[in-house]
Amino acid sequence: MGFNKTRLLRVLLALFFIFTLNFLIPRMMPGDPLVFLMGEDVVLDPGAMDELRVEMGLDQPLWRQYIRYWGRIVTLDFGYSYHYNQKVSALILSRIPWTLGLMLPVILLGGILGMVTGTLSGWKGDSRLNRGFTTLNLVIYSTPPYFLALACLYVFSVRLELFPLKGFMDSGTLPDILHHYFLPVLVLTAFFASRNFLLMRGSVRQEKKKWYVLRARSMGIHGPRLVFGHVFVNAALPMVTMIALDFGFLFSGALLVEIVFSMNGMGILIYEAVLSRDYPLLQGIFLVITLMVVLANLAAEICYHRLDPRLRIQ
Amino acid sequence: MSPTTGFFEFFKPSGGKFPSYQGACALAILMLVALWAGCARPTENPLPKNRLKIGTVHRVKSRNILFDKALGVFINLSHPHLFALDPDGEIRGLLSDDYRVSEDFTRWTFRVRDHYFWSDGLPVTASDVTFSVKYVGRHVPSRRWMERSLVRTEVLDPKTAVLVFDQPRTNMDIEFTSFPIIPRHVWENIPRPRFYSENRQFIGCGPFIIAGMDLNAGVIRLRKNSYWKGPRPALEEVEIHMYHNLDVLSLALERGDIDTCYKYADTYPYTSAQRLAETGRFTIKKTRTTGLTFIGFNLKRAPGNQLGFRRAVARALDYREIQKLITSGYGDPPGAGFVPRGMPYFLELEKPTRDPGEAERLLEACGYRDSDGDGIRENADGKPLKLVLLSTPRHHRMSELVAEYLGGVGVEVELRIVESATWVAMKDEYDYHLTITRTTPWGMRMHAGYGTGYFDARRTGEGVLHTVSDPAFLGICDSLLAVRDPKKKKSLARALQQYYARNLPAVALVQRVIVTPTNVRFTGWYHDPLFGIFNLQNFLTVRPAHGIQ
Amino acid sequence: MLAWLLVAVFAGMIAPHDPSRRFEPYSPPGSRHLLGTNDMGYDILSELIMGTRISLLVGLATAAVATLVGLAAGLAAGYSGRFLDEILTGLIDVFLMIPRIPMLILLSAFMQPGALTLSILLGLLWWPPIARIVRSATLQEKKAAFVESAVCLGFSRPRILLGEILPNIMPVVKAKFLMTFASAMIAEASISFLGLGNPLLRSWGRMLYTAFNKGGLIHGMYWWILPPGFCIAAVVVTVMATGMALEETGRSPKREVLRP
Repeated sequence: MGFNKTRLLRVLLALFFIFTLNFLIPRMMPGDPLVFLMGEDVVLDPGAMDELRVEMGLDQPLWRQYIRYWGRIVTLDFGYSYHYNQKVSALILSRIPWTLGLMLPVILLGGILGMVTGTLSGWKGDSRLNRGFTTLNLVIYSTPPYFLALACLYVFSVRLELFPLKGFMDSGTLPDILHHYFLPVLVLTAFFASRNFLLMRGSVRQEKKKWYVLRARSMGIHGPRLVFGHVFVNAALPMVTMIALDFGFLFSGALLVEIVFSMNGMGILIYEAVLSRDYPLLQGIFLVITLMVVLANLAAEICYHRLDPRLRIQ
Repeated sequence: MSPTTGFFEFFKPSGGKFPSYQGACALAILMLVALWAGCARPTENPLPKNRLKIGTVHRVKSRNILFDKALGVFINLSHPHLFALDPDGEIRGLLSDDYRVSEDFTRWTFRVRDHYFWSDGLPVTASDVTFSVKYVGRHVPSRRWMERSLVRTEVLDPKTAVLVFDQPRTNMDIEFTSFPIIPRHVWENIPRPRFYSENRQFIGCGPFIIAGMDLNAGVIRLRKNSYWKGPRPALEEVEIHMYHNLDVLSLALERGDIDTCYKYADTYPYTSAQRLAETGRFTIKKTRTTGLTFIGFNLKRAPGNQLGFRRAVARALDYREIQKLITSGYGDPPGAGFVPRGMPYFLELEKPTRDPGEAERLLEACGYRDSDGDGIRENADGKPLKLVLLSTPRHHRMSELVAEYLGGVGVEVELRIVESATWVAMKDEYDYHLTITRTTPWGMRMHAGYGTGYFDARRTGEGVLHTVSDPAFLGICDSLLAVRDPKKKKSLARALQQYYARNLPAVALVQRVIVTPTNVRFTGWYHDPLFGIFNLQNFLTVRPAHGIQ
Repeated sequence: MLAWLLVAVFAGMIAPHDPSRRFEPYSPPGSRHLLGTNDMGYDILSELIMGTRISLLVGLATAAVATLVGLAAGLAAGYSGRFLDEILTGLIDVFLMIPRIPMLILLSAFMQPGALTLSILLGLLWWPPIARIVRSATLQEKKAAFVESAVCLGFSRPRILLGEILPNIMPVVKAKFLMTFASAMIAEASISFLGLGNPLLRSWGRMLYTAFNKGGLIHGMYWWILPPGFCIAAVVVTVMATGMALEETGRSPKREVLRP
């Protein structure tokens, strides 16, 4: 199939380009990465700094570092983080499950909730309830997420003292972990659901006008079968890419909430890596994110093609 | 379309009653909330009265006591240093009770106290000290100079260690107030300490040992060292809670989740502290530190290289307003000699006062005149006096104020606020006219002490400006480094402060005061000029206020 | 929406006080200062009003940049032959794969951009979705009958693109423009909120950061913490509502019937 070959080629090229970008960007930023490793008082002993530079591979000319970089990617060796004092791969692997635990339920719940309620809202007429609910979603979506998170934290954790203030857990038991996750998941789900709601609603309202709906009605199909059997699927098509991208950008989405709730996940890792100029870690994370986005995109493409018979014929 | 239709059949409600969906969703969410509210309350044991919880924004990134910055401070409890500073800034023995140094300052002899034992039962010996110096010197980049400078070590007896250096080293006593002493028998078989993360590294000889570190919960737990033979601490356990977010920490403090807040060389926000004091459940301790916030001049180019200009700047600032706005009245106005009160041999010089008229006269004398009436002075060539003030977000408000004051005397200031790493790069390249930065108590003692570490052009470091290459200044520095006699030291210190006052390589803005809120549940707090409440002595004296359980 | 724009343009005249004039800090709301003063004594209401300018400017400029680039790329990709289309789509893919928020953190932290630079940066991160939509819309329009007739009549390519296709995809573009406006405002607010942006850029997001950092939350100074947040939410709601309305009315029902 023509689609596969050119698409694949394009994806690979894109990957190559991004990986190169990934290599270049940290190095183009102002500031010496060794600055934060040395400390406040460095007697003019260039020897110590040079040794560290050699150890980190920063003494080599740029092109050589570049080749080494690619070699490492192939062997999946992301090097060592000198701020976290461990292998980057180990560090990332240890953090991923926590953030996944945060984001997967959010995306799934937010997706389902948003799409279902959005469909209903788009299908039904302009009742007061409908408009009110839409406005609510609009407001939730418009509020800056950090603000929303802090507000929730303040109300539920401080004033009402229902939830803990920080961390993924206290004692490590499952109920405890769930307890800690509840608020952040709630906030993020509200945010994602509201966005999905608005998009789905718009999509359904447009589908409603299409002639196949009229035709189906005339064939005697109506009610939930019509809505969820036919309209929903068509309206959901544009959402597929959106949700796929959500999966791809899992970690960045979690960032703000992780900061508010003091959770040591991937989001915070990115944030700290950027601020402390931790090259190897930065590169490792960006790589992981890129891979995830590419995979998510591919999955979206496949879903799209399978769901939309029009494209299948092409 | 057909394969998916079946799937959705599953969800269809009875007879087209759509509103029930939304209602169902809402109900479900409410029920969930109720469920959690009801049974998910943490069922902890009632808090034992003598467990101290400390909150901090310093985050431990890795399980490594030698390489992790935050952990390096926290191990003050488990790995006491040879010396400590008492509140007057004098050296006091901690792990070591006596030291001697040779005439030429190359041979240092330390004696280890008798009652220190590692938490696995072995006594602390002199060979642990010599090993630590060599090992840490070898592996930790910031301490590398010590390894290079060390000629040899000797162990005279199990409690007496000797270090011989290749050149006179006059402030090894100060150096050892923050040098980790580690057990030889644990570390000698570890070739790459940077990536070592086993629990064995926590073996220490202080009154408390790290018992567990849970980075996912953000907690470090310390328990008593059963081999501690010193004064018995009243506390049973210590917990360090790490927050990402100062706001949340403040809320936790108010709620009682934690008993106090710790920040190395930095203060708890003043306004928040006031509020805590108002609740009546907290004591606010004010500790004066030798940390300063100051304006540094770029002495390499105009107008920074003109003494008249620097004097003008010193006169243009409203120190009192700075104190009021930036430190909510908690800071102290600085002395003219740059060196703050609290350092030994502090010289009381005339405090700088605000005098905009004088500032304007000085600027005119330097040749800066407002010839075109636009409010900004120009120099002799007609170039307007527009200066770049380089700073970091921490000093944002201070920079705005300074810019305002200088604007008032005809100097236009462009603020450039960059993050730390960029700031370091720019100051190293002298890419500024003025900069606002700060000293830390440790930094004031660097090099020859008295803040010389920040200005001596022969040095460098994260916060160091290295702007002064005046032989007079360097001469004083070198003399201070070599001096032994306290009387000579005193006169040199005074000479230095007079140099600062006369030549103004920098203008001190405010001397920082650290406020530490502590819950009234605990009492007996002891503050150390270097580490605040995170010093060993404090944890021997802190106790629950209403008796031990 | 119009109201907001008016406030932004006439901000200087509306604001009761000069936001850089200092009064007594931490004053609660009173007759002189309707929203009180902040930690340095600046009047909060004035800061809020002046902030309208900045926040709206960043949002608008970003949307403008993103739309321009997106339009250009999308039109070119949709209408041109296979080769150019492949290249452009590849480019779009690459940019789509860049994680926005980390990139934004990276750039903001290091460059401390001013309003205009920030808008350009944001625009460069937000154009791919627009390009994609424009491309698919162009592809669809390309097949329409009136385009065929235009080609037959011998109209030049640019004329077809700008004269025939562009007006028909305008509704979609307008809607996306507004969505980008909203997203950009929220993104800028989030970055400023973290304290990463340029401290001299007094946007609403920055006000929130200062409010939280200088004791606003602790002292329960709701008049400081809430207004900027509300303003952001309010503007975004307005924009989104307009966008949504446009999206619907833009597509005339008649044409829908003709399309399967």
